[in-house]
Amino acid sequence: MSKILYIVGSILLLHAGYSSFEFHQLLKTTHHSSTDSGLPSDIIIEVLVGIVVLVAGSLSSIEIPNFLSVDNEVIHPDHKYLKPIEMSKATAEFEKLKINPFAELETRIEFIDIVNKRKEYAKWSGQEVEEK
Amino acid sequence: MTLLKTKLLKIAKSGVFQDFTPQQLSETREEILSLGTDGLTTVEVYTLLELQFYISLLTNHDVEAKACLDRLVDQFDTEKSQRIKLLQSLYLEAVAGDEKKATDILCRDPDEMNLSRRLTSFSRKRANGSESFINNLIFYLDLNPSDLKSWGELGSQYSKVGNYEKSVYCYKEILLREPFAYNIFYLVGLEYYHWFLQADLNNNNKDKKDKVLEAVELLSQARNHFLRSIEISESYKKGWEGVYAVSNVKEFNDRIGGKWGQVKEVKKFLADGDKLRELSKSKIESI
Repeated sequence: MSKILYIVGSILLLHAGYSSFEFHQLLKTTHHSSTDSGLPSDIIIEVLVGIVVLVAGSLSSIEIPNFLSVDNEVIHPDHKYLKPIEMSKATAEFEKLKINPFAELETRIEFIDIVNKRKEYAKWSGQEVEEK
Repeated sequence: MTLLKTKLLKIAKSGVFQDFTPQQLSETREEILSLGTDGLTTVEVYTLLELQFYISLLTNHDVEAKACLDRLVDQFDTEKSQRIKLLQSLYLEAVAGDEKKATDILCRDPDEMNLSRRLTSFSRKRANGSESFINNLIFYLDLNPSDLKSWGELGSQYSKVGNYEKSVYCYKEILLREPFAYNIFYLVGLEYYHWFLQADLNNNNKDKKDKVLEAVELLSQARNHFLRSIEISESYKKGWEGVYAVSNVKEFNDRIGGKWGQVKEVKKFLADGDKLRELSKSKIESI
């Protein structure tokens, strides 16, 4: 959708620019000054419409992207553009992701028992556990 | 590729890989290796390198861990970075098994509080591990009372030794600074529930009114904290499971309902439990 708006907006602005060029060429050949009459209103309106369409296109391109959960499941956000204002609903995304913003208070990597964790992995993978 | 990068960065930041199963660790390591460094910013590259260090250390890929550590040491000032010193200490502890060298790195400067925090954990290996670890954490928290992770660890250690009252206190300290940490509300609820089970088990005179009211109060506190966790995040499954557990203690409910069912507090507790049981059950099924 946003791409279509970008294209339409750009075409409108280019067309308005070319129309303005042609208008000034016409004034030159008829020896009129552009300050006498100014740009025709249809060109001004075309420029304004083109800008509005471009802005709409850029706003609609701001979408919340999909994300990957810890279990490699692609999660599509429930809301396309903005998160819900209500916190209880906004946090639903973290539960789908299986990582919440307060997870580090629970995981506490600085206190990891690295030796035991390595033993657990070695046991699982069938490696020899070297006692030090 | 962007999806994978975002996922790995989130894993690195949150530290959830610590609770990964060996299978998950192995898969995560392969994902990091498959990602490469194309299109990553410098910060992302070094964040993922740190994650790779941890994962390779946990999966016993010591050479790979050393290579990651060397790259980090080359890039950053090891004398100033506590984060790098922590990684060096972990490597020495895990691979070389040299506890003395590992602690020496952590002891160099008493002002480096993050390293002092790690230093407390070495007491776990002593004969009276838990007690010694708890004393060290208390000493550390006296010096640095705003360290939320240490409060969390202290709460966890108190829970392991069955001192649920103090565990609740520690987790509540976190909530003072992080009032929306719904996972911590769940932990507080869980500790209240464990406290109730312990009190009920130790209560020989099960028909005494003040003991019954005390148990009801503990269960109510547990339920309220579980409810607060799902108030903040309505799709938090653990919170709903907690609510279901405290509203479904059949033996206790039958026991107090028979003799003390007309006492105001007990009556309210049982009525609330009936309402919450069905609601929590349906929510758990839907999530």
